[in-house]
Parts: sequence; C-alpha cells; structure tokens
Amino acid sequence: MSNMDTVVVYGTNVAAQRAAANLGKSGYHVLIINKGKYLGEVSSQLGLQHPRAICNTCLRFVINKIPHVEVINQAEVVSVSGEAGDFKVKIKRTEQSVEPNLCIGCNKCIDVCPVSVKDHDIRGREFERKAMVAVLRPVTPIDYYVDFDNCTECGECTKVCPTNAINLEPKEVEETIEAAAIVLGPEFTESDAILSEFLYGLHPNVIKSSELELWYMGTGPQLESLARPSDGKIPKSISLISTVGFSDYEFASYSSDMLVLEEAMQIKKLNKDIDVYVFVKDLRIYGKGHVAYYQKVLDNGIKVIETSNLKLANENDDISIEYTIRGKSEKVISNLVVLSPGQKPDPNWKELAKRFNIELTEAGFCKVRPLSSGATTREGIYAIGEFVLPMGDSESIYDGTAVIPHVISHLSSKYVKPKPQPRFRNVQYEEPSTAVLFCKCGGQFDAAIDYDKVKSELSSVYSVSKVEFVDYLCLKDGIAKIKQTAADPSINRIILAGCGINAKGRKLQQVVAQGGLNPSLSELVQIREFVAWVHDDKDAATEKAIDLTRYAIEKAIHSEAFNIPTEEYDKRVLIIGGGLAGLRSAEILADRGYEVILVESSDKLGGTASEISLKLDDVDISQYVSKLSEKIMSHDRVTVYLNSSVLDVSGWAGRFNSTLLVKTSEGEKRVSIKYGVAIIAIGAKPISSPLFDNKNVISLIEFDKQIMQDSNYPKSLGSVAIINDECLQEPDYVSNARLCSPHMLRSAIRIKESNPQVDVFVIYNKSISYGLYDLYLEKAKSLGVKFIKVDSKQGVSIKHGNKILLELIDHYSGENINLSVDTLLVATSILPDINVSKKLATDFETHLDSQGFFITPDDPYESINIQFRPYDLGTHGVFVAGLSYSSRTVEDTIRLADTAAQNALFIVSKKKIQAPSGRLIAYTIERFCSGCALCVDACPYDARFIDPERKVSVVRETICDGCGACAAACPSGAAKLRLFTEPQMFAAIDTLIWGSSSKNKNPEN
Amino acid sequence: MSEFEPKIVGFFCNWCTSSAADLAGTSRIHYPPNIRPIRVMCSGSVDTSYIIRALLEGADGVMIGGCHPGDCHYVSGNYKARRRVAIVKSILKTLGLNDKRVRLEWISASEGKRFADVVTEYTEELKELGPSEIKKLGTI
Repeated sequence: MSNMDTVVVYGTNVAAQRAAANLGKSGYHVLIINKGKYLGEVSSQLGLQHPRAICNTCLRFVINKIPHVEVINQAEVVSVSGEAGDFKVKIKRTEQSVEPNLCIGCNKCIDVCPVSVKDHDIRGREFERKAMVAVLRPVTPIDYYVDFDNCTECGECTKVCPTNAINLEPKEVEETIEAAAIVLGPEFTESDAILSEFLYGLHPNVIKSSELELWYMGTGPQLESLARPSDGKIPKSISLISTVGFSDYEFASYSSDMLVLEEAMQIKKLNKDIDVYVFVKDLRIYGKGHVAYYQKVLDNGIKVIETSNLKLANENDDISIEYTIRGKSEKVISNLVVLSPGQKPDPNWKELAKRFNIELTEAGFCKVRPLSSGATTREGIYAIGEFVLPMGDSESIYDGTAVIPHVISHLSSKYVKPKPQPRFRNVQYEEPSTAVLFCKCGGQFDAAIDYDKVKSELSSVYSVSKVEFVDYLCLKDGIAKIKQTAADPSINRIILAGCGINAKGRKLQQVVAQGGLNPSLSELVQIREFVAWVHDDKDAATEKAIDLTRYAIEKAIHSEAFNIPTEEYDKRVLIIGGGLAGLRSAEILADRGYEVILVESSDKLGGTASEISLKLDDVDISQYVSKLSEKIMSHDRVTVYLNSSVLDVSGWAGRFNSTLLVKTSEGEKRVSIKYGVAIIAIGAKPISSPLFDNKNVISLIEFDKQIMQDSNYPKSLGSVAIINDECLQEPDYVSNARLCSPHMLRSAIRIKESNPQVDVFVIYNKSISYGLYDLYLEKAKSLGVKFIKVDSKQGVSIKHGNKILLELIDHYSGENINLSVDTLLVATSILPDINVSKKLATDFETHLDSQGFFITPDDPYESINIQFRPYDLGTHGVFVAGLSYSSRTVEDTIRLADTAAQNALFIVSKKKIQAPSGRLIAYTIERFCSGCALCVDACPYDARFIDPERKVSVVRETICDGCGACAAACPSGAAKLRLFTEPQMFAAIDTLIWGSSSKNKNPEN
Repeated sequence: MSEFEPKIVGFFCNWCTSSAADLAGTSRIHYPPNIRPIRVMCSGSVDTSYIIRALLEGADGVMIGGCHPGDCHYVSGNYKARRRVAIVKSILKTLGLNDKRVRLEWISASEGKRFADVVTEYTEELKELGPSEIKKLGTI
C-alpha cells in the first residue's frame, strides 16, 4: 500500500460538504468531485439555512477556504477499481471555461460579449444577459462561466480578458485519481411530476418553496420578494402546503414540516398582516425543540391546519383551497400558494450505484450496513446524507461527521502531521516603516481612483516608506512583488490595497507570511468592493480610498507581531456513561489508539439499549451491546469504573482534572484522573405513569423486555392499543416521537404479525412517522393496524375495568371513537436524571434545557443553536451523545456517538491544538485587570476565567474564537482583542473622520 | 456652498454586514461614498467608547451593523450590541446630539442590496439633519 491520505468526496450535499470540511481540517487531502460548474450550484442559492431559518452564510461557504480541500468542477466519475486503501478513481472532467485562479472579476468579458440571451428568472420574468455569465453569491469569489449553448465563439471576450482566464474550447479530460477511501454524498432531486395535483405549473401563483427562497437571493428576505408572479402584487393571504402527506410518491425529509413552519414564520416576520395558512396531513414535529417552535408559530397567528383532504382550484389569479377538518368542509382563498415537496431518491442513483459497484435499497436509497455510520456494501466506500435517508440539514451535519472515524481507518497515516510554522523576522524594536502596495486590478480602478492623488496623499503619511501601484497583486508578478516587499528588511508593515479577504485577500496575506513578515503586521484594504465598484464620483471615491488605506496604515502601525498560540492537549478521553453511545465512542477512540476512561453509575455496561428488543437487518441490538460491553471491559486502552460517579471537574479542554467516587465491595474509594476531552453520555430513563397501576397497562420498554424472555408474549396480549403518552400531556410537552414513533410502529407490526386476528390500534397526537419510517407505517397499515390521531388531552379518556375502555375524538373526522382493548401499551417519554445532568452541566460549564437534556449555550431570546451545531457544546472539548442529548432511536444514537467520537478524535489526534481563529485572540493586560469578571460573563465560549490566586482574568487561548466581546465589556481596558486593540481602533476612527486634514495629528491622542 | 456631505463611520461585523458590503460590491450596487467602513469581528465588540469617540471627533453619524437577531456567528454578540447602542442613545441627548446620529442595523451576508439601501437612506437622513451638533458647539 502506498502512502495514501487522499479521500474522494463525490457530490456536494450538506453531509458531503461537512465531511470534506472535517477531513480537510484534520489535515487529510480531500478531492471533491462536483458535477456542476461551481461548488454548491443548488445549495448556495438558498437564502436561509434550515433548521430554524437562520442565515448561516458565514459557515456555509467556508469549504473552499479550508486547506487541503480541492474541488474538481464539471467532473463525473467513470469507474472505480482497486480496493479500500488503494482505489483508482477514473474521472472525466471538462475544463472550466473561466479559470477561477486567473479571473479578477473585471466584467470586461461581459461588457464586450455581443450575444444577448433572453433568459427567465425564477419568477418567469424575462431578463437579458450575455453568453458570459457571472454568478454572484455572498462570501465567495464571483464565479464566471460561458453559456456554450448561446456562445458564438467570436472570441471577443478572450481578446479583452486581461489575464487570459477564458478558455472557449474547453476539452474533456480523463484522469485517474488515487484515493484511500470514497465518500458519496450526491444531492437528491425534487420531483415536479406529482406537483401538478397541486396546480404547480398550471397556475402562475403556485410556486415551490425552493423558488420562494431563490426570490430572497441577493437581497435577503424582503417584502418585495413575496410579490406573486401573475401581477407582482404582495399577497394578503399565503398558503403553505407540505405535499408529502397528500401523496404516496415521496418521502418526508426529516425536517420537511419544520421547514414549512419556518417559512411561515419568515413571511409573518416580513409583514404580520399577511394571513398565513399551513396545510399538512400529519404535522411532523417529533424532535428536540420542535414543539416549542410550533407553539411560537401558533402564537404568531399562523393557522396550522392538519387535514386529510385537500383540494385546490383556480379562482382567477387566486387559488381556492377546500379542506375538511373535524368532519366539516371549509374553504380558504389564497393569493399565493407555496408547495413544500418531499424528497425522492434520484432515479440516476441506480446507474451511479453500478459505477461504484454498490447496492441500493428497494426504496432507492443507498444500502448501508447496519450500525455502521454509512459503510456501503463495498469496503472503503461510504454513503452519507440524502443518499442514505431523506435527512434534514441537522441530521446531515452530524452524518458528515459520524462517517469520518471510519473513513480515516482506511488512510495510511492515522495521525495528522502538524504544519511547520513559517519563521518571521523580528521587527519588534524597529520604527514602523510601511509599504503600500496598491492594486489597479487590471485598470478596473482607473475610472474611480485618481492614482496620483493617492500617491501624493499617502506618501506624506507617517511611517509610509513607499507607495507602489501594481497591475495585478494576485497574479505572478504581483505575488513576487509582495514576497519581495515582505522580505525587504527596510519594510515592516505591508498594506495590500485591492480586494477583500473573500476574493484573493486571504491568499495574498499568506504570501506576506511566506516572505517572512508576520501577517499580523499587514492589512488588507477593500478598494474593489468598497470603493471602485460602488462609487461613481471620482473625487469622493478617491478620498474614500485614501481614508480607508490610511486607516489600514494606522491599524498596522499599532499592531504587534505575535504567533498563533498552540497548546498540547492531554490525549486521554473521559466518557461518562456506559450505554450504547458511551460504549460506541469508547470503541472508536480506543481502537484508534487513544486511552479512554469510562465511568458508569450502575454495576454493568449496556444501558437502555441492552433492554430493547430490536433487530436492524440481521443485527440484534441487545446482543451487539453485550458483545461491545465485553470488548470494552477487556480492552487494553479502556479503564472502566463501574458503580462510579464524577465528583468534581477542574481545568478546561486539554487539561481537565476530576475525582471519581468508585464504590467497590470493599467500600468507597476516590480516584483522581486527568484527561483532555470529555464525552457525556449519561442516557435517560422512561418516566413512570399512574396508568401503570393497572396490570394491563404496560410500557413499550417493558413489552420489549418480556419479548426477549418469551417470543410468544405478543400473542398473550389480546387486542392492543398503543398510545403515545404525548397524547396525555400538557401542550408544552417535549416531544418523544423521534424515539417512540418508530418503536410504536415496530411493536404494532410485531403484534399483528404474531397474531393477525386481534385488533391493534395506534393512537398518536402529532406525528407517527418521519423519514424512512414511513415504510413501517405503510407496512403496519397493510397489515390492518388502525391509526387514530387525537388532538390533545381532551380527546382521550381511559377507563379501567376488565377491559380497558378508551374514548377518543378523531382529529380528522371529529367523531367519537370508543375502543375496548385487552392491553394498553404506552410509549413513555424519556428523561435524563436531572440531578446528574445538572451537576455535570455545572461542572463542565455547559447548559441544560428545562427537561435536563444537554443543549448548546443559546441566548435568552431565541434558541437557535440547538439544531445548528448539533453536538458541539459551547465548552470546547466537551461533547454529548446518546439519550442525554435528546430522545432518539438506536440508529440516531449510533450516528451521534460516532460524531462525538470524531469530535474527540479531531482534538486528540492533533499533536498541538491551535487557537481556532489563529492570530485573532483575546488577551489581558494584567496590570490593568481588577478581576471584576465582567469579561468572563461576556464571553460566549467560557474562554476566560479569573485566576484564583492572582485575581486576574486569564484567556484559555485554544478556546477563544476572537469575537472581542470581552474587550468591549472590560471597564478598565485590560481585556483586549489582538488586531483590534483600542489604540488601533481609536487611530482608525480618528483617521477616518479627519481624513487628509489630520496629517499632522499625533495618532496617539 | 456645496451640499453638505456627512461623514459616517460604520462598524460592521465581519460575518454579516461586512460580507453584505462585499456582496453589494460584487453586485456593483451603487451607494453614496459617505460611509467609512471599519471591519470589526462582531458587533458585540464595538465598545461604547468607539462610538462616542467617533461622535466627539466629529462624525455626523455612526452606523453599527451586525447579524440578525439569532444569527450571530458568536452566539450572542448582536444582543450585546443592541443593549450597548441603547445605552449610547440614552446619553446622546446629554451631549446635545440627535439620537439619529447612532444607528444600529441588522444586515445579513446575503443582503447586499439592503446594505446599499440602508447606507443610502442613512446618508440622506443625515444630510437633512445637517452637520453634527458637536461641530456647532465649536469644540472642534
């Protein structure tokens, strides 16, 4: 086997992007094979990130900025030969028509292009464009491409292109890539075919939700973006329909109905006078935080209608929607209808599977081995995201992490080699001497900027030794110039005036570092985006350009040279809880060679998963757990403490200390341990219910236990009703449906299969199924299981007697239903032990929700971060897995445990941990610090603490993310943020206001 | 006399509003050149002293731009900014300044158009207000 550290990531779904980012950040080489012309042709166009409709643009597009990640555009895999650890991936790619490394975004090609193309925007409005197309997106360089369908190949663009970036005859190239492992993450496709039932394509004012999002593009959500296609009027009434319940052709994505609710909220936010209706069949709110969000939606006056019957009809420019609710027929007239379709496996995946020689499931998704986090039927090839399940974004995000430890096992180097830090010249005692390198961007700035004035004004500024104009800073000559200037011993500050960090700026700053000057002594000035492209008035623009450059000079003069702090972390991992999640993460970490300390409060390992009777394909979960327990008990690198608890925690990520209380037969003893990372997996337990006083009322968990002892048990039950205890709760309940719905469905199927004659009823409140569990639902229905949806507590009354009598009010028909059954099975909610979770949350400085589940430290106004960064707790180095995060199924628990293990691996596999934001880091001037701890409160990451002996604030450097909240909170000027210190900021403000008239002003004032 | 051109100092967070300004640039959306943007990492790192300093030095307006509530890259920085700006606004009167001299805006990275609109509108507003009252006091 060769030295193989390359992973091929095929496709660009959310999970694939996450996986690529994860591998790249870990230091492995990643090649993304992208079919499209540029990265994220689809995903980058969506205005808001779900879940929770937050912007998230800042995190979404970082993938092409991560070192070691390369993107091959317009490429397709032809075949894969070889085996895990040594794959040969044959690809076919078309050369890009505009080479992104050369393109400077001057738009000259578009200006000269003689071909005018009539195109339609997403709303069907006609607009004109050229055969050369620019794609504008936030936070990324502009992507250009040639529309060859319309291009006449006249060659005008190639003549004017100042950097020869255009290739009008792109060739098809075949290449073979060597890779150790392959990760497949193709996107699903929306199917339009069935949407015609909802008048899509037949009525102009019926649109898809993805189109609504596209309307936001470029401007963000605005009232104008709601203007309906037929007449451009802002609708007074909008209906959102989740089509998935009303058709059998598609699968509901995990987040489909939450997505509709979020869109409804978005519209309400834009104008609260718009009537917003949401139509769904079964509202699929089943997860953490879903019910609370639903309540908020209702509080905002959005009408959510769950109906089994929906009919749309033309009503001139409007659409009438007829529906039935509680047996009654009602009608709404809407000005605009937005359809939210489900997901379907792409029909092309069949052919894709052939090329990769992997198998698909009957439903058309990729077949993955049970309990494997994405392993396909071919070793070394993994499938993630929508390719496996109709996942939502938050599931995709952890799927993209969970797969990594398995992928890494095929790579030749299990450890990441640290990058050598460049050596910088010591300029500490030198007088500041600044070089201003002013880019002309190929003449693009000529119209806006008077170079002579810039030169004369800047030359007279304090510290400026030279002002030079360069045609292209980002091309070969410019880069050589930067390098040479950085290496010049007479220069110790460099100002690069040209484009921003999202264009070429980042690359240019790296060149400064290569030249031997610390990048903290250089500054970028965005002449292009902030001045040249947005202002016409040459005098005013020149003045602004001078001001901005002068401010950068002041900032650079007042900056100091310093290196990125690094820290060596303790490589041991503490895992609290020996259930499925704890065992699974322990196995991964120990097998990779890291020492694990496992603390379990009971006298045996296994937890809740060892008590449930469940088979996934042919794997019996309880057997799997007991085998895993044995393996962990006898593992060389795992120290297991049974009957133990964590007494205290001190230190922080990389250097935790704890005392364990261990109960043994000889009595109690205390053990001190040291570790770098902790995984909390304390699990949760089903709650008790007064219903259980009746011996014919049993919980589903008890039912499973009985089955494991006697497989004929279901036969002895007689007729059965299975009820979700959500139906009996107050409206502010925490949903358990994520765990219980599949469990109820499986149990119903099992009873019906063992005894087809008996009646089996399933009574539920909000959702009975989600994602691929719809397959269980279908099966249960075909076996004759009857489903009854009730509204709330009022719709259920239970009487005990010889038989159990249930009086129910059906949601759809509004009719009273009386059931008489022999046995009532209750799917109970699960809750963590609040005392234990509270103590751990305090010790590790993490946060709990009101039920005692662990959450991320969200702010008091809106809880957004729960789903956004699923398992990355605020405290760096503490991760959560299993039921202690939220109620979830075995499959989800496995994925979560693997994610936690990978997050831990990410830290322990590095020799040294770097501060997350590099040079941007908070520090304290200790002689000013009074130890008031305001900065400690202000820090969102717990990166500051008060040294108990010296009573001054100390920064945990590898935790600080560099936001500067502490610096703003400090009353005595002791807390500072590097690169944004007060002298720098004051100098900047002064120069900007005084502009050229402050030439003689002393910047220190 | 030529028309009064206000000087506006903008403190824009790196992740949302600066990116929006970037997008306005790449989309070539024009807006008045009166704004002088300062990139900060987070709107929550804008010290009250920066705002006061800018006003005392003679800025006609100070604009703080952050991520939308709930979207902060640093969890809760924009809420800190909101409270801080409310405090600054409450003392502007004492300084004899109109409270429109300080403006807080939430502009996300995809709202390039909105960035340009807000800057244009604020510039117009300040033009109507006239030069900063500080200048009239004759202190500078």
